[in-house]
This record gives sequence, C-alpha cells and structure tokens, in this order.
Amino acid sequence: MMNPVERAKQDWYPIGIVSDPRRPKRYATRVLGKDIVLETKEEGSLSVSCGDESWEITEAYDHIWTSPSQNPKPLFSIPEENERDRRFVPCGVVHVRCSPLRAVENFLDIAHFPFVHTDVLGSEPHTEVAPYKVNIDETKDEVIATKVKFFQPQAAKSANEGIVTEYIYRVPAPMTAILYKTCPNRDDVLDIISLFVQPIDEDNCAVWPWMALYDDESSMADMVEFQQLIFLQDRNILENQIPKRLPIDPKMEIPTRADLTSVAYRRWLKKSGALYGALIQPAEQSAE
Amino acid sequence: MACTGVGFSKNLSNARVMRAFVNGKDVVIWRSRSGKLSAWENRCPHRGMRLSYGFVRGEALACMYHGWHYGVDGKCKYIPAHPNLEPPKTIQIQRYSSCEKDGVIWVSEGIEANTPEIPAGLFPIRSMELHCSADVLKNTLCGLTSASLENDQPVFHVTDEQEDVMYIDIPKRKFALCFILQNFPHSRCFIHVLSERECAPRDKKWISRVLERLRRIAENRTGEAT
Amino acid sequence: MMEPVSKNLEMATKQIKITGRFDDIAFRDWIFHRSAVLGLDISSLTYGQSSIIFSASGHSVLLDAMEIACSLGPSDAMVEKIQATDLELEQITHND
Repeated sequence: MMNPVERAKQDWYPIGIVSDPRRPKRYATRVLGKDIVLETKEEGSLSVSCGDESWEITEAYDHIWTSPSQNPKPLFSIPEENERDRRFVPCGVVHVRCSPLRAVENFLDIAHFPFVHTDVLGSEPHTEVAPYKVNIDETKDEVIATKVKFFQPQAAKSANEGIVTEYIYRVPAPMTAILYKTCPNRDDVLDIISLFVQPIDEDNCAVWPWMALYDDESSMADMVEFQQLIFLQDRNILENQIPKRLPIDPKMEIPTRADLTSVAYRRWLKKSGALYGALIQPAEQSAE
Repeated sequence: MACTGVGFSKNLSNARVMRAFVNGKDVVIWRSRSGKLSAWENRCPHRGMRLSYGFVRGEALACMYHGWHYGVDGKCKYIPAHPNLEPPKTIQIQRYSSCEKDGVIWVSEGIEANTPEIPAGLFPIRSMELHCSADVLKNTLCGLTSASLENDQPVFHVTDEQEDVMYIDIPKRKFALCFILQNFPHSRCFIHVLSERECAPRDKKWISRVLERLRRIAENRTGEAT
Repeated sequence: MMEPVSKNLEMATKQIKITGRFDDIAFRDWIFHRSAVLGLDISSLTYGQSSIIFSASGHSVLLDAMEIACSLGPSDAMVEKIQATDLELEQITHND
C-alpha cells in the first residue's frame, strides 16, 4: 500500500483564483505540509515553486491548481464548464482547522441540513433521510450518489419557497466534491456547486467553493455571500469533530443508512490508498 | 475519586450547556429544562461532534450536527434522520458523576462525586480564566508577598490547601476567600472564587482588582518560563 | 413526500455476507463490538475462505447500520463485497 503522502502527491490542488486582482506577485501558501510560492510574472504567466523544486501548474474552473508530481493524474472533468450560459462563481477561500477529508465528507452529508443550515437548506420536522444509492464508477474511479432527496425551505438564493431538492453527489478526486442539484428556475438542467479542497497539512485545509449555476437574478456578491454563509456554518462543525482526522475504522462512530455517502467515500479512499488526512488506527478515546 | 469544581450553579441556568475540563478530559455539562444536571464525555458517538455546541430540548441534549437527542440518563432518545426508530439503549454517552454543593458544580470521573470538604454557606463571587496552569497559579499564590499586590499591608495569607482548593485569609478586610482551581489544557486554568461572607459591592470590586493583578503576575510567570 | 413506514415492516432478520481480505478473528471481534453498540442479536457467525457470514435480528434501520459499518470494517480489512439478505426466522438454522 502506497504511503499516503506519495499517493496524495499524484493529485492536483487548488491554490488560487485565476482572475484574483488582489493576489500578490509572490503568494506564499502550503500544500501537503510543504511551503510553496505561486509567482505571477510581469507578463502574467504563473509558476509554482517549493524551495528549488518546480511544481506543475494548470488552470481550470476559474482556479489555479498545482501538483508536486512531475506526472500527476489528469485533472477531473466537469463538462458543464462549456455551457457558457451558466454563471461561474469562484467564491473565494476559507481556512478550516480540520483534515481536508473531513471537509469533503461534510459536504457529502445532508442529514445535517435542518440543524446546521436551519431554515436555509433544511428545517425540522423534515429531517428524515430517505434511502438513496451510492456507487463507485470503476472506469472513472469516482464515487457517485444518486436519488438523494431532501425537503428544503430555501435551497438557493433564487428559490422563493420550499421544494424537494434532488441531489447527485460526485467525488472525482479524494479532495474534491461536486454536487448537482435541482435548479429552482429550470426543470431541464442541474445547478452545480463544488468544493475544491487544498490540503495545507493533515489537520488543516483551505476550501475553495465554486459554482456553475443557472441564475439570472442574483448578483454575484449575493451568490458568493450565500455560499460563504453556508460554509461558515459548516466550519463550526468541522473544527469541533473528534478525532480531527477522518477515521477509516468506524469503531468509535455510529454510521447509519443516512451516512451512506460518507461511508462509501471512506471505503473508496481506503481502497485507493488516499489516506492523507485519515486516521488509520481507531481512536480508542477522544484524543483531542 | 477527586472532584473538580467546574463553576457556580447560578451560572448554569436551566436548558443551558457549558464545556469544562476534568482531569484533562473534555466534558459537557448541561441542565435540562427542569434543572437536572448532567456531565458527560464531550463527544457525540454518531460522528464525533462536540456536544457542548448542542442545544437543550426539554429533558434532552441534542447534538448540533445531526440533532441526535440524548436523555439525562445519557441514552440516545431520537435520531432525526430515522424518526420511526426507537434508538437502542446501547447508544449512549459516557457519563461522569456530578453534584451541586454549596453553590458549586462538582464533577468527577468516578461513580460518585466525593466533593472536598469546604465549609457550607460560602458565597460565589466570580469565575475567572487565567492563561497559566493551576500549578503556576498555586505557586504564585503561595510565594506572593504583600508588597506584590497592595501597598505594604498584608493582603492575603494562604491558610489551607487541599487538592485544588485553597483558603486565603484577608486580614485587612477581615474576611476569607476560597479558591477552587480547575486546570485546563494548554497552560490555562479557571478559578472559582467564593467568599466566607456576603460581600458589599465595594468588597467585590476590591476582590476583582486583586484577582486581575494576581492574574497578571501568574501569567507573566508562565510567559517567562516559555 | 415521505410516508411513515409501518412499524410491522421495521423488524427483520438478515444474513450478512462479507467477502474480501481481512483477519477473520479481528473482524469477528469487531462485528461483536458493533452489534453491542447497536443492540443487535448476532447468531450463527461463521468465517473462513475470505468471508464472514452471520445473521442479525433487529430494527431494519439498525440492520442497515450494521451492514454499512461492516462495509468498512476494521482499519486493515479490505471488504470487496457485502450482501445482506432478508431471512425468515426458520432459515437461520439451515446456514452452513
């Protein structure tokens, strides 16, 4: 089984937004425990270095991505990026003192909507989680959850009344999660909200949410604010979960059918050895 | 088993939740709507969320994450994602012993909370957080001379010391204080201060001033040591 | 909208079969630990040839929780497949 750090080096990680006017010419950040610098040259070209070492760099989905590997896995695809009548919204960055895997796992969870995002994404008494399906797409090596349904009072900035929202969750890489949801304004398309997670180290991450929506009414600022509010509510949870790292053995937890995506995600991580930010031995006592 | 004083009864109203540390363990202390006190391991067994962020609903404490409800007996009563399930009694939180005596909430890991012998009828004054360990505070108190704190008059005099309880005489003001020390991780502690007699506002102000100066001295010592 | 499930349909007995690469004894102990947490009765647990088979009785939500937890199992277990089949009570005695 490959060392988790070696496995993690094969992926791409977000470190900035392409068109961010406030980014300094030499922007210092940290990925997988290594200090790196993203440099913007005079003519606009970008480079990433870690000490003397040069890291790979690419741009996709309005973000700048980097990888320590000379030959990283191909970045996942989101075909909807070509649907130019969508609105593409990079939401900025939020630092969270938790494992990058915990950030993804929380994004895949719906049972918390009535309690953490009260009256926005869910409300009591509409708390029951109906069974849904989770599969691993073996060809693409992704986790897919379908037929996820939940009653929501105000599922997006543009929704005026409560609806049963249907979700599809997709995990195309260990630290990326994408959700496709019923669009409040149109029946024929799905809105996309994704979480690109930058692993600062195993206990700290930076989250870069990105949306591709059909919403002609809301302002960019309103959409970003809405998404940031949701995420800041999640941060309260993420920074107070014990243990900090994602347990691979659920011995000290009680997952139920409502936690199916979380369990499938952990199974998939275990199988692919993508365990950077995971706790491999069960925490017998609450460690922190 | 040793007991830790975690706060004053009057500072934890009905249907409220607080966090405390007992022997280095993270503990959630809460009062049901009817006033029943419970002290538990501060972690929901579902997915590990700290229960001290939860909310009280009637005679249950609900976890902030997915709303799992636990009764005063520590057992799971309701799982919102599966509303038709009567949760098995086996899903429960590890409980600590707790009791209230002389206006103080006491918690211990053992079956029973054997509270230290403190005189009855003391008056809670205030709780204060310090950025130093309980040991540093104890040493500071014991080592202080009057000159450190107020002019040249003897200020206080440590008369007795049990595990985490100290008695301090204040000859000038003719009363005595009791300090209950509560250690927290990462060089922090709380002191819960009680007085042997009811204090006039003037006395309370004086006590606060002295405590603030004591805090500065003790925290500086911690600063020097690091 | 979601309709409440009739109480009669909620109690069940299932046979759970786990196949993969794992330490049989460790997984068996892990299953008993999990069943104690969920308050489920485990019967006729057998193991060998890269599989563990057991029966469990209780509320369907808790049986699902058992199946889901077992799909992960102990840290070093690699579960390849997990199957849960509904059983009538009389069938339990015929397991090999």
